[in-house]
Amino acid sequence: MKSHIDKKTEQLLSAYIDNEATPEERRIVEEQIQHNPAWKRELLRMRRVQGIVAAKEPVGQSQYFWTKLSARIEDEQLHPKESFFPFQRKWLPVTLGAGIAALLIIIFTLVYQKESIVQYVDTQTSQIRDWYEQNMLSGKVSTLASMLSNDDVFNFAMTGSLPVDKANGKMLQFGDQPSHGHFVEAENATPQQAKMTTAALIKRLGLDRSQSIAIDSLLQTYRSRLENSMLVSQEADSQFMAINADVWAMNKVLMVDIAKTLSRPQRKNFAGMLVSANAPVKLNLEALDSPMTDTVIINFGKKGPSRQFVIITPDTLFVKNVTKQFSDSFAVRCEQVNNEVRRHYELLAKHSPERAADIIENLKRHQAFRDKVFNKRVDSSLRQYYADSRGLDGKMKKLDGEYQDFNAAVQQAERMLKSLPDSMTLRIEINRQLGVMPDRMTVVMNNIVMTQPLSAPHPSGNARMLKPHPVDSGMIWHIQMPDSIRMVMMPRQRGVVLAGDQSVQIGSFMKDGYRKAAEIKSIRSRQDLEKRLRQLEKELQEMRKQMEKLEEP
Amino acid sequence: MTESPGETRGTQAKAARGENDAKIDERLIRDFLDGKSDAFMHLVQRHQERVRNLIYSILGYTQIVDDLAQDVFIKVYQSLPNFRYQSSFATWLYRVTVNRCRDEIRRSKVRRMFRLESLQERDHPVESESTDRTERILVNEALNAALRQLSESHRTIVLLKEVEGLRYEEIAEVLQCGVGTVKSRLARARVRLKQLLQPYVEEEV
Repeated sequence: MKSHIDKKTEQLLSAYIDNEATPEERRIVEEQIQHNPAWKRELLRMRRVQGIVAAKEPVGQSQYFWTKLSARIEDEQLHPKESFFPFQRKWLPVTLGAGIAALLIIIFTLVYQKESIVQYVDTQTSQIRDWYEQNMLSGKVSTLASMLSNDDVFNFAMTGSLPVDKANGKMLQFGDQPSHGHFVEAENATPQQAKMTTAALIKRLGLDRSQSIAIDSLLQTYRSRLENSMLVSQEADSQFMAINADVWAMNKVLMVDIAKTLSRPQRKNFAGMLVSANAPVKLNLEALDSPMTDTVIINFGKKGPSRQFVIITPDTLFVKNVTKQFSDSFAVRCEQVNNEVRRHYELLAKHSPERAADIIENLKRHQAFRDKVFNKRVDSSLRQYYADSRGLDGKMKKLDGEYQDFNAAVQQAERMLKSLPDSMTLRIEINRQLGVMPDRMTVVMNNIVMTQPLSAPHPSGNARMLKPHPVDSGMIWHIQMPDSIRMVMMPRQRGVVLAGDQSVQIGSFMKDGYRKAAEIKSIRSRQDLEKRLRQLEKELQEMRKQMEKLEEP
Repeated sequence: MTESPGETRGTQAKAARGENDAKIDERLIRDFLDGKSDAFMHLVQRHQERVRNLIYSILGYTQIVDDLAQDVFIKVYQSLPNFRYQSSFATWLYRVTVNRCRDEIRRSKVRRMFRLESLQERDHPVESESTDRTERILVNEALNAALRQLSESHRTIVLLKEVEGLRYEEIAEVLQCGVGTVKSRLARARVRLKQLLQPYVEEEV
């Protein structure tokens, strides 16, 4: 018989008081507590602890919990948080582990699946494909961005190959075949595949400083675009890699874009470099100066990435238009602006050699700014606001002015409404000349014609009263009465004396009130605008703070 | 000390009530998914105090109870269309609540702002209370202090059992761990509480 209470006993007793002990355990406990005082005491202590915790005082009731919650739900529905990525921000830190794991499976599939991708696709069932279509892009997606350097992009321009898992030497080779169209192959990087670097290009072609900067800027631009063109899933149950259809054209356009920054002799050398590097594409030197080439490059930069993605999964491969991401994103718009700015600088440098130094300086500043905004992985919404901030300032001022006007109008209208009577008593005086005293009176309220009985004659004998009526600011009163009858309208204590033939004035008085009330209503319905303004103010402040932090060295 | 017939009846009645509650929840969820706008309101009203209390008990302070409870219900609102009844709604709700609390505790630690309700935050001064009430407040404060000294996992498990009255199996579902783990953690947490609340425990024993 145990008198000592050990951990096992405690666990047994704990389960016993919760009615979670097995029949055998119950039997043991019940036998022990009958004969062993230590067990009995321990059981009592546990029950006491149980009682104390169960009697824990609850938190005070919350008033308006549902009201506040429903407002938040409505707010979140009306203004869903915008995000650059089609997944929650908390996943933003690129968890490459999961991404790479998914990628390796895909690469494994591709490397060992030597048959043509087209045939491979044909062997898959549409069911699997549908499953992926429904489930992918709803999950967590990361880009391959952080793995690429400018040299990787340069190499991609020259050879069409892109490292996707540097640690394990995995590459993706993009290309075209007349028989099969576009293809992508996963392969192991071999030591023979010496990487082409921008340093080698600069050295071999003897590029000057401005040319080096221009090429760096180009690579940077295309790198950003590549970032958003290759996505991998982080979901364990929905592994895929999505490649933007542009990637197959991007290396060629980039190669031509680089060539355009070179002088004629340099271009020739560059073409030689491509041949010796076994580049899959040859450079057509004659076509380089054609306006058509310029158009292609500019259009490629301007149009933004395609919505078409090639989706590669361990089971299948298909093409899908992905509409919910990237194409409208700020990054893409920045890309376009960046391209245009760069071209603008290049054009200036070409036509104003004397200003070349300034232009290069500008270009550098532009690049520095861009690096600051893009490479520090600034929150995407911040980028958005930074870009909009110039416009936002103006917008804010305008909204502010509008808001002041509203405020003034609200105050004026509210003053006006306060001066309106709560109820109105009409006193009809006898027209002494005619000796007429009507006992009924027609009142038109909001186009509804009502015949109102007048009260008994006033003790003075010369007046009757129209019983008090609540005055709704939304009503228009129009009193119809013979011209000759004199009427006194007494809103609250304030009497407004009107002659019969001035009855229109009552209408217009009320009408004015009605107009003001309507104005107030419309202003109140524009509280959304005020809300938005406050939101903007808050966001702008937040954004400025963050930008200040960024600006710090 | 076997379970008395009264206790058995109580347990059965509780189980029946739980079943009935689950059916009501299920109906409200269906109504909500069918677009009946007030169904979600009823669902919230049925569970809001339970969620708020659990948050308060786990965190130990009141300031953000409503905010977190709202977060929980917004999460529920967004996720209900995907709710598959693999567990009861209440169990799922507890899970969402516990996860949100854990998230908050993690964030608070990061912000180094983790603070618990201080005695100054009491609504009523002890002096003005009746003896009974004073006693209750003192025990409650001692309990709050003791709970604060437990680890988050022990605290949560004790609260789910003693305050919310969940079965081991349900607790395991909420915390996504095994029943054995629940059993051992709960016993450890009780032993620790017993030590921390010794004066109040011994008093009666």
